[in-house]
Amino acid sequence: MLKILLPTLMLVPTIWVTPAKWLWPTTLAHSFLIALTSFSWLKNFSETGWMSLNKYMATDALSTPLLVLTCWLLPLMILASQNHTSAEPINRQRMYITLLTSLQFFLILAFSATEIIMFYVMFEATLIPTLIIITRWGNQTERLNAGTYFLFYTLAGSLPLLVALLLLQNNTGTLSLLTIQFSDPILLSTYADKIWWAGCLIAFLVKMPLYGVHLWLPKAHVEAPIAGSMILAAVLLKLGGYGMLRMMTVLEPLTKELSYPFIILALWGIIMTGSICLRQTDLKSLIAYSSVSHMGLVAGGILIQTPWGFTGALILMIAHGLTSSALFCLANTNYERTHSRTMILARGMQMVLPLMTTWWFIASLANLALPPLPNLMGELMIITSLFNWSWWTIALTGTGTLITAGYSLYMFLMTQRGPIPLHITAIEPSHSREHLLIFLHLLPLLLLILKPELIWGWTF
Amino acid sequence: MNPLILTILLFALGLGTTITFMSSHWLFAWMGLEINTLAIIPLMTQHHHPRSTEAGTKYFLAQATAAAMLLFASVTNAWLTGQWDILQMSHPLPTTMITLALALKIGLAPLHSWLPEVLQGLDLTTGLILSTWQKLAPFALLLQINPTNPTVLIMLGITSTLVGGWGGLNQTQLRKILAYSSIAHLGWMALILPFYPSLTLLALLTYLIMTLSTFLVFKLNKATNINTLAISWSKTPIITTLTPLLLLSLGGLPPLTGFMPKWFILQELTKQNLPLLATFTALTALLSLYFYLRLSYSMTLTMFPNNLMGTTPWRFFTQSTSLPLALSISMAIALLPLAPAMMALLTP
Amino acid sequence: MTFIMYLLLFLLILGLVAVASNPSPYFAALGLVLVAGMGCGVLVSHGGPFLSLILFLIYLGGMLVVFAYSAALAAEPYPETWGSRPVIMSVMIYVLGVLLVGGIFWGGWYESSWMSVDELMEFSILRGDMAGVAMMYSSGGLMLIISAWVLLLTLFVVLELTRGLNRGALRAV
Repeated sequence: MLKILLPTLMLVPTIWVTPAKWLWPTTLAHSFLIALTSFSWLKNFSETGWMSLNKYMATDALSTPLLVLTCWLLPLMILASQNHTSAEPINRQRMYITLLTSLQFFLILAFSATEIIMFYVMFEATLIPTLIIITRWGNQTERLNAGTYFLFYTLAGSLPLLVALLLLQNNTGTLSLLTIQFSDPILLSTYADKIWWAGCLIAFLVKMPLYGVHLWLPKAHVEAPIAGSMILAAVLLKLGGYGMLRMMTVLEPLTKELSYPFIILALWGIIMTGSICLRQTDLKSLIAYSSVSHMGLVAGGILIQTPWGFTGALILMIAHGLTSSALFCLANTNYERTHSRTMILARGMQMVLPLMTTWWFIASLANLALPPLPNLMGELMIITSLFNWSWWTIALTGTGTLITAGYSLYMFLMTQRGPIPLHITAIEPSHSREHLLIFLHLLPLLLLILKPELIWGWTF
Repeated sequence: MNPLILTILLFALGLGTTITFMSSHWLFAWMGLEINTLAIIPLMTQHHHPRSTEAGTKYFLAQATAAAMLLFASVTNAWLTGQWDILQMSHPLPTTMITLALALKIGLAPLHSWLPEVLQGLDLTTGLILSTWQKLAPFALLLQINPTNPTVLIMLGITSTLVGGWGGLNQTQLRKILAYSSIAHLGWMALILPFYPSLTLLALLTYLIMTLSTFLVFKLNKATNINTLAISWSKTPIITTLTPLLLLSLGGLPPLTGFMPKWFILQELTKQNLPLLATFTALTALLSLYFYLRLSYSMTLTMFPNNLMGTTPWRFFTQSTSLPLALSISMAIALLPLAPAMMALLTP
Repeated sequence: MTFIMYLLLFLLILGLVAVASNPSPYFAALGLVLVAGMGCGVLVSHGGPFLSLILFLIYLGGMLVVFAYSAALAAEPYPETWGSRPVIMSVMIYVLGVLLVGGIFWGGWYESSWMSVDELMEFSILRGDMAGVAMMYSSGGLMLIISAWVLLLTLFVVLELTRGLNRGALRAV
């Protein structure tokens, strides 16, 4: 565990002592080495499921994919931010990379924590770097509003979670993930227990975000700089899903009935946010709402608590992490050239940036879950298990899939095809840095087709 | 002010708190509190400004009322139980009266309304003394009387966290914001006092550290309202970078120091089977967090346009001493990993 | 003796009403004198001559003179007295309030606390406050020193606050 954590910490001195000229290449190489080292976690040969165990941290089949995704994202974020921070003073660039690094540090600690309370502390700790990235490096003044929404939605959900966790600690005597599933089942019968159940889950549902408490997400995505959007879509939302997967074992007898309204909200949210995407004019907002829609599927898959649902949720989380991050990067390449997120102002990009269109194409297809991409695998498993749970869900999930295909097509057509508007004819050509960036997003996605059991979680 | 007089006053300030600390007799404790009150009033009014005179007068009135009430309650206690010892309060009536008197002295809601206006009338140094050193003596007494009935303190605590959060929301003056923040923090301390007094001590300690560094930061920037904060980046860039962390630590966000007392207090409340109270108090902390967030927005997270880029003041040598600020700000941010050590230190 | 107690307590209440109802400092001071005097009388008949002596000497002899002096400094030329309507109104309200509260609590305290000390001959030998004063001077030496220091400090504080005539922090009109 420390093999990854200490190099991540050592990134900070690297950032601050490297000469200005070598800042970006050095940090990129360093973080990339960390990401490559993190692949060693994927080989899980332990019989208990837990690996690289130390006093406070461990990995298992559930957390490993998310950990590797976290490590993989840092070099990509560094690659993506190089252009838009280049106008700033060098110290501010260093500060920015330091923030991204601290985010990776907290996220590794969160995903690998064996104590739920440590997971909670790190879950909250990620708020501060993210908040600073959004509100300090965002572009419009609305970023302050977005930061406030982000902080307060999350905290309003997670402070009850803290109390609920402390209550759990008092009842069972432990919060260790290694032993909590073996502790005696708690007698949950009163109304207070039902509120406790909600307290345990709502923080994660807000973080996911569930439809109804999702308003902070589009705002944060739209206002954040590219690295903020990437990490938010790829990893931070997955904290919610991960937390729910972990808590589900404790909440056992109550979830069966109490989760109905949340499942319905999640599935209804797929349709609603998909429909919002269909009439969206803002590119980043479209991708953000598409995240909400996919996360609704994940939430539904987790809440019905079948092995297939869990596996599908994990697969979809990883696949969606890579896909949406790639889409945000693509949106950012447009944004850096046209300085607008409005889709109608940047049409027909195929004419000027033809290779980029290829990446747009693959990313859009991944977003609408084309076979045999892992996105499809995840969605199919979740939809199947939901269908098994209740036949009627197919109406919602099926329509949702159709709408997803619809808005992915809309996004692709709107940005790439058609005539090119006159005001962007003199556009800057795409850099190999950007191609590398998108390629590094899509490569793992494509390779995961060949060995999907890496992200299957417990069922493998 | 004459340095001799200043020395005498500061000495008396120290003496008052010390007398209250060491006393076991109510009369001595009361006397220490009175010395404290008397000694700070000339410091408050040393700048001959109507606001500071008003602040001094209000402070005197509030403190004199509280002290008279304390004296009355301790005499009542002596009458009812024949005891003058602080540690042997057995009758509920004087205990409650003393609790209320001390609440007025430190400014717990609903007896808080003097605090923001008094603090607003002071310069930052005196304000610092008022919101740190002056809280020590009353808390020493509060910790000793161990009230038999927790309801009073719980009500005071909840009201304070609520009022502290609510009152600060529409303020633009930093000293008033700090006053409300102080009320909210004191509310947390009062809340846990009947259950686990060591946690009150822990919360008081972290509050002192955080408030000390906040006041020092504002003093360094000579800032008394939110707008002045916006140009602090041109004076002290590194402090400007650290201040959001400090403010969020005051707001109690993990993994900063301010989360430590809140975490332990919530844990103790759940252990006492009061989860509803714990949740409610935790949510009132969000109100306070909002104005800390607003301060960090205007100080660090937005950049105030300044056309003197070439000659920003941070390039020049400054005379101000930075060691206390450096020490306190690093303690105010990164003390959470030391939580077990601090608990071991403070638990008897 | 009970009738004297009645009288004293009645005048005490009347003095309080006088202080509370009158907006002018002159007459409030007059009421205060009445309250202090009657309070001393009550204390004496409950067996506390030393305390009441101190109160009478220090409070009436020292403090009230200063108070009267400062009240005279801030006095208005045409003060409102008990004759004017608003004052009479508030006097009535206060007296009614006192009567009301007295009527409610009448039964409770009549027997227990209105007894003056002369009717309890066996207790009147023991003058607790005398012994207490002697105790304070004999074994409370440290407290005496601190008290002296507090008085000195108070002097300093008052001087510091009023120093500099019309430029001082607190000043006369």
